[in-house]
Amino acid sequence: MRVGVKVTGHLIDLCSATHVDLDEGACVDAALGALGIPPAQVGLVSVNGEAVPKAKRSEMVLRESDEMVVMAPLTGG
Amino acid sequence: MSWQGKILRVNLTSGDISREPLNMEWANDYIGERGLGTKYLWENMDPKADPMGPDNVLIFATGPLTGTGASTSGRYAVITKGPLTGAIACSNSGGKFGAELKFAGFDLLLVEGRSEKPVYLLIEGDEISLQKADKLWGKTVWETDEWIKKTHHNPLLKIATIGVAGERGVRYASVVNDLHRAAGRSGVGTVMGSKNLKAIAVRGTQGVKVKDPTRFMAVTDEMKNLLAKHTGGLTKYGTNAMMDTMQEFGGLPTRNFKEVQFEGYDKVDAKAMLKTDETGHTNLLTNKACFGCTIACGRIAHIRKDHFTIQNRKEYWHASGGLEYETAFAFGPVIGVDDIDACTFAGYLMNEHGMDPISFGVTLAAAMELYEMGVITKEDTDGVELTFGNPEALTIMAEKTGKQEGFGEVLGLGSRLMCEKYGHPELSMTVKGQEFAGYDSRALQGMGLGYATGNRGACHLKHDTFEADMDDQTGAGKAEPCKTSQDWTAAVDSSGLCMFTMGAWGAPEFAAQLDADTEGEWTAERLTHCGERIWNLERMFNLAAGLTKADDTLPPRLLNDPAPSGTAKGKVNELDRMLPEYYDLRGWSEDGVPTEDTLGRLGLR
Repeated sequence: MRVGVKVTGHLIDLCSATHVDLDEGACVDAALGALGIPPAQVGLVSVNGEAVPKAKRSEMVLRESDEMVVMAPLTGG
Repeated sequence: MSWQGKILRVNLTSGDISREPLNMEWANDYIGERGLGTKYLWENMDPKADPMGPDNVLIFATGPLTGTGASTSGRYAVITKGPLTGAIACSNSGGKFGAELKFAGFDLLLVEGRSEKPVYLLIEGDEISLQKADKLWGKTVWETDEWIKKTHHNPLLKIATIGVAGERGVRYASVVNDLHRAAGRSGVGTVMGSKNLKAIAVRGTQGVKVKDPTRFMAVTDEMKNLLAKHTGGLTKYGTNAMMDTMQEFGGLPTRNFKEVQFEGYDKVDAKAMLKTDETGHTNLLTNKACFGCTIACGRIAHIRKDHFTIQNRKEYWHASGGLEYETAFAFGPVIGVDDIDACTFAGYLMNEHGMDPISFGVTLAAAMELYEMGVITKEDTDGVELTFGNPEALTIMAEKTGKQEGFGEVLGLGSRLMCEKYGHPELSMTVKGQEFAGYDSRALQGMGLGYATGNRGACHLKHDTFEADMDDQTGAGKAEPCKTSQDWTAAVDSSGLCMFTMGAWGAPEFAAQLDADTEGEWTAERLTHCGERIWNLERMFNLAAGLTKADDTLPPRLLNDPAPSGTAKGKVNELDRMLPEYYDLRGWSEDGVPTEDTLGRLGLR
């Protein structure tokens, strides 16, 4: 299945993909792994505009055509 | 060691200038910079004093690590009673001025009284004098810097000055040093102007001595390497890299906080600054570092010469300080403008005239809402169409406010007084009278608690709840990270180093550098304890000034109107849930007053 991807902030230097191809039943953590984005560098992931807390990343199953946004951590400034 | 052991006291009423030994007991308890400045303020003035009167005290304080070889060691703070809030004001800046004050032999400069006529303070090595500033009054920050250096034939002077905004009482005037670094928030420049003190020019030649040079070099080298691994994004993109994150998160305050996402965000964000347009113009020219900094997050930008703001004004065809996240937010989303050159130009004007871009932008946003509601009209605004999204309104009003002309006089009051003047206090997006930064606290709940309890009013720099806020968008579990980070940030702000290192360094890393630098034994525990003491002393100042629990609140829009979109869609800030838990954690009464036990534990009784 194909999932749309957008990254924010400096994560653009780690991942310029606009989508990721995953096996059926793949979770958010698997998508991050496939994209090569270290979990420690992720502030928040949203899927179709809904926030996915860190603890849910390994449970949240993605579906065909989902839109995933991987957000850089906020640091103030 | 590293503390210079001396303070400089300048009484502007009498003209007396004196050197005093640094109170080492206070230095050990309050570290330096923000903390030490707060202690000196507490001991040297009545918190009830009029912030614009001669009894207010204005302090420029360095930290024990300022001017050393540690990374980001260019920091100093300005501490006073603020004219926007009536609360304690502490505003922090980088550049080179702070290190130079240290090189002149002073940990802290304390200014009291009021000069009858405009003056500036000149510190050239051991020679210290008050000079007539009649030829400088009315000049911009940039003109003042050039004039002083030329007049004294000394290009090595480092200058902190106010612009016309500070002279003429704009409530959020800043102190600008090194042309485009600023102690920007809380009106510290307004206080300087009220004292008829135009500038401080300093050249020092003493250097600083650290406690254990060999260990200090080893530790700071290690810390620089650690920093390099964590701050590459800041170097390349600056703080404005956060804009698209805030957009996706749904915490980007838009059109006076009516919305939380801005359709034009990608025209003013960090990537837009790097983009080359069809004419070959790129907004960002390069980055720039403050003294000793190995991050270099500062932006140097330039504007298209055919842009309406400068096409007939060659004096602005140069490069200068570019957009940071907060300036981009304050000239972009919160007023609905997506013109990067207009935003950049407004940033120039803030530095030139000496104003806080956050307070200006958020005040302008409230004025635009009043205009669109029909409460004010073109007759009030000097004929300017004050609608959201109008870049000309932004730049015209930035100049008018800086020069205090026409409607700029109203904007110079700040959002709270302006909204009260027009009968709509609910539109003022402030806490204790100070305007919000670029984070909507319906999406960032802990940020809302930090804003509400901020000792200098709404401020995003005195706590760090981002991680907790991004992971959970309710009020649950936010009081603890808010309280802990407030204490920790107070310690960092007192060290002489920059808070942008906090993503790489925790308490042990700061303590290791301080311990190699400074007399006494510095541990992570001691540092955090000092931070808590500092936070509570600031609170005591505010309570003595007349502030109460009622001031620890948020505007009704954030408490009652659900976020209209984004990941927090439908949520309001849960301050009522968080605040009692926060007071309890702090060891404060239900009314937000530190208990006797708390004061005793912190050595504040």
